[in-house]
Amino acid sequence: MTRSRRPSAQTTAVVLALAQTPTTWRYGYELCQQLDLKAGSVYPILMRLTDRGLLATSWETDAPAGRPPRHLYQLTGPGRALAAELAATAKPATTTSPAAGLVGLRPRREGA
Amino acid sequence: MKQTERRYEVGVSVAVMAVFAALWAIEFGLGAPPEVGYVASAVLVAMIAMPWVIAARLLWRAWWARSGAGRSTMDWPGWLLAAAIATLPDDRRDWGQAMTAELAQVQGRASRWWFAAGCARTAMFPPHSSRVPVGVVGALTAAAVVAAGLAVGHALPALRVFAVSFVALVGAMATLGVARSNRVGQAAPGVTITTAGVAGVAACIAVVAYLLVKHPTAGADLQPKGAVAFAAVLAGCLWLALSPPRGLTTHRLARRLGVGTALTLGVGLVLASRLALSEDLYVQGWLDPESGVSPYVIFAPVVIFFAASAVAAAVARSLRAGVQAAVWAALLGTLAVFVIGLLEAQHWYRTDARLLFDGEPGYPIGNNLADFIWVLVGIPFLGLPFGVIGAALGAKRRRRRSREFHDPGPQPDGHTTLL
Repeated sequence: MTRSRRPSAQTTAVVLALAQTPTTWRYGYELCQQLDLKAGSVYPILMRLTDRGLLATSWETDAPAGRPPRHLYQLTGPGRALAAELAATAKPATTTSPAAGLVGLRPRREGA
Repeated sequence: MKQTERRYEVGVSVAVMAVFAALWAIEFGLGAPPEVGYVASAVLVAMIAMPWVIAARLLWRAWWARSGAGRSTMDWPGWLLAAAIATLPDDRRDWGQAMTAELAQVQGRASRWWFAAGCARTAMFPPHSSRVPVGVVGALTAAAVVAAGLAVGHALPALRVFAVSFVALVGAMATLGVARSNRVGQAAPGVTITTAGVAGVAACIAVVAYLLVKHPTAGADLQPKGAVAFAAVLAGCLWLALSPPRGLTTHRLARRLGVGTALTLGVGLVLASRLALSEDLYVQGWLDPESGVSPYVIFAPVVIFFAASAVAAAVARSLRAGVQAAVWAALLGTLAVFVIGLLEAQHWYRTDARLLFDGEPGYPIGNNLADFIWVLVGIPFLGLPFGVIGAALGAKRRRRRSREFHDPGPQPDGHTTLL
């Protein structure tokens, strides 16, 4: 697992959002809402992060009857290391607040 | 539920009819008026469309019984996403489930549309772990297109449009395949189909090149439209032979029957051609020099595909097996008829100076090329719906026999026995 180039602003936003509560399993739609990103941006990022071993995935085990189990995401060790690195790089450009840092990294909203 | 099913079924029929109506309108609205008149041509098109309507309804019913009924409560965003994730490569299937599960949580019509559209885009073009292979294949494709254009344009100018189109299409499919999946060539149809399919495509190109070398004037009959159609059909055949959809690769029996059917169709064409030319054995109006082999090429696929699919479905107790047999028979049978047809056409030309397909005298040999390029499209077009109908009948008959075997019902003496 090697990173050859700096992640995009959207990837950075997703990684930092996941790093806010690193031990909590997160949902894809939840991330879309939190970052105000479209599913067409978030899911490719989640796929790439998973492919690179930066994200662990799991399936919801206690889904209510009649609803399919949801897919859950959490940063792995290398993912957290990347998040720390990205947060350190991002802070000087914005403020010291993690939330504000996230807003500062928030990418442009997709047109369609 | 029954009403919903019926409504969708009518919708499927209307959609198929609309496609044929559009084809009719394009052909005669933009081109020359039909020789037989607008009404008669419309009736003819409707007759050709009927087997497709029946086949589409049968497939729809089977799909609905298997998984469609559970989707009857789906809204349009749900359908959009379901259709898109059906195209996901194997190594991304779990992501399709993930997106479907997440859509169930999204509230509000607009939000559901946006979410489904974004997920559908991801499913259609899933990200690749590395863009290097895609770039390499794309660059190789571009180079191959240029090389094919230059080399074939120099050696055999009449084949240049075909060569460029074919290489471009195959390259585009390869690039798309590499871009969509981290693993290439996952759903192989088996060595026999792959070998026969690739060999068939190569043989088609070789026989056309041979014809053009031997009869350089035949190049005038390979118009750009026909050359592009020829390239598109062969590229499609190559795709089916190398990397078909998963749903076509599940029954070995279907593949064997597909190969057998293609052989039967090819051998039958040789026999039909030779019988038509023989003075003692030809059948007036069906197989004679004036009719050519057109009755065989039109009717044989219908009968043979129907029978092969019915047998496959009955033996495997599966509609899907029958449909697969029809698809493999269409793929390999079409290639076999094209190659054998063009070889036989030269025999006919030497013997009687007639065209093989319709027995017309006095036309240059190159007309055979144009005829058989359309045969390449026509055989699957005519035969496939009958293959589906045969598959449905085979599967139904087998199920009925199976039920009779297990439950023959009360006997006259009041006992129930197993046969």
